[in-house]
Amino acid sequence: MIKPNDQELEEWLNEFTIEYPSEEKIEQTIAMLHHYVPKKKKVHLFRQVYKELLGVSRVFWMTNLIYLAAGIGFIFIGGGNPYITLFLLAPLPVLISLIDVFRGRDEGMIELELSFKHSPSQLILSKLATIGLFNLVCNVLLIAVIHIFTEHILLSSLLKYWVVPYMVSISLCLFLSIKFRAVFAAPISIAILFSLGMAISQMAQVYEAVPTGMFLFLFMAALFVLGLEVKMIYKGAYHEFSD
Amino acid sequence: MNLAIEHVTKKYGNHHAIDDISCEFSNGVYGILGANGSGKTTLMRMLATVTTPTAGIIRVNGKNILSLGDDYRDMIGYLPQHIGLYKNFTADKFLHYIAALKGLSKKEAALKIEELLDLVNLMDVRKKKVGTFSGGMKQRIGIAQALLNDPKILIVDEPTAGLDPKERIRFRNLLSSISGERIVLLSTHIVSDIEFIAKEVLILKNGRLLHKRNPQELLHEIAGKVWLVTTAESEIPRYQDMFKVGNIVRSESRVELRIISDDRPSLAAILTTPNLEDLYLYFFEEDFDAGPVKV
Ligand SMILES: Nc1ncnc2c1ncn2[C@@H]1O[C@H](COP(=O)(O)OP(=O)(O)O)[C@@H](O)[C@H]1O
Ligand SMILES: [Mg+2]
Repeated sequence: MIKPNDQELEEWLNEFTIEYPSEEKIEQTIAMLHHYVPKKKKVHLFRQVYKELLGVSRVFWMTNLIYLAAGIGFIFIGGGNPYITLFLLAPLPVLISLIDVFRGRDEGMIELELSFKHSPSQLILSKLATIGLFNLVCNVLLIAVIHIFTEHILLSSLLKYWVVPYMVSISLCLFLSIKFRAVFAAPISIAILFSLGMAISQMAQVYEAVPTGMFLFLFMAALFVLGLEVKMIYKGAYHEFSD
Repeated sequence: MNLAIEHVTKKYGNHHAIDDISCEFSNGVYGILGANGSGKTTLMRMLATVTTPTAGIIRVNGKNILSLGDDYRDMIGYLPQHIGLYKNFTADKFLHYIAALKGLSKKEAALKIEELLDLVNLMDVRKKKVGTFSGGMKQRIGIAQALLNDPKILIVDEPTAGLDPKERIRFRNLLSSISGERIVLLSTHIVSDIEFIAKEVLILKNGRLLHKRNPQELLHEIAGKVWLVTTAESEIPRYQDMFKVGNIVRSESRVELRIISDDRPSLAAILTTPNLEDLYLYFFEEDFDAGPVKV
């Protein structure tokens, strides 16, 4: 039994009931507080890849340096033909680096890598982009050096001896790397490139006679294939778990 | 942390590797028990986003893991059944490499690797190439890589396969010690791997989830169905024809058979306390067809 006194007290206390905040209010408060929670720093993928290339793959930086040195050596010291030199040497750093790009897959790591924050597709694409861009800079550098210190370079010749062989050999090698193992794809592509380069250096007139339009077409075709390959990589066509 | 599997199915062609599974997980160790081909790896691959369900959704705290993408993968650690390793990497370099792929900064990675090498007891071989590691060491570096990002969900697929008994015990203790504030999913076909560390056991058969309960409840399932029969050696084939026979203990001229049967297998049979081995036999050993038998 509640004594009158207690009852009064209870009634009096009841006036002070505190309403439980609504679900919505709680959510709002949490959302507001979220702004004050220190965010985990997001490491950008490109920076990560850049660091990784720096740390893990010395191959890539070395091949580019060797490429520049060899290019300059051949042309300025050995008196080699700058066009043939570009034809033979320019694609090499990228072709060799592809072995490293696909190493994860080739060593049976894909299943594991697929569970990582940065998916192997992201990783391969950003590595390709990094490698491609850096190599392009090296190429432009070499071409500029040739242009300034030796003969003036014709744009159409650049297309024939640099752009097309570069693009075609890389897109071929990339395709072979996606379908098979990069350790085989790279030597095969390099062998093809060298055989063609040697043949062309012997029969320069024949090669020169091929109309520029043909090379433009080849260039576009290689670009298209590269685009397809990027899509293939994005979709995971390079590993057996894509389904 | 809540992980929910909702009507998940995975088909390979017409074959259901996983057939309409639904269940939920909260922090703790879960043992996924099933014979070879029962779908353990397929289930774990979907949880690790290595492959996607044909139908159904997996949610973490209510959100579809596939739409969470990176953010989900940031919170999981996965040890595949067959782990590939960069054979020419040292343990140290391997872990640094994986840490980079998991998005750890160099500083974070260095600290974490130090801690993990110690935890998995590989500190003194950190400069050795992983290609030279024994099976047990490979599994331990495998678990170390899975833990690099301090995962809230740890998925380990048959981690004790190919380990010797000592390594197996060590591995079990290791898992038990790291099972604190996370969901640990461990698949195995070896009962003793999970008998004492699992909060719940999932029994998977032909892609279907038969049970998800704590070990004690599961054992209750077969209470009154496990018998001890003492008989002559020559009688063994006859019993094996008619019943699921587990352990056989030989003593002098007699043998004691452990038999799993709904009915009393012989007049002299006495009931005994079931263990998880019996449970496994009960669910998975069925290459015989024992009708009601009178002895
Ligand atoms: N990639 C695949 N292609 C076709 N069938 C598969 C594939 N992966 C698994 N299976 C089939 O799915 C079933 C379950 O396999 P799995 O998940 O590996 O079982 P467990 O890990 O329990 O041994 C098996 O019948 C297996 O043959
Ligand atoms: Mg399996």
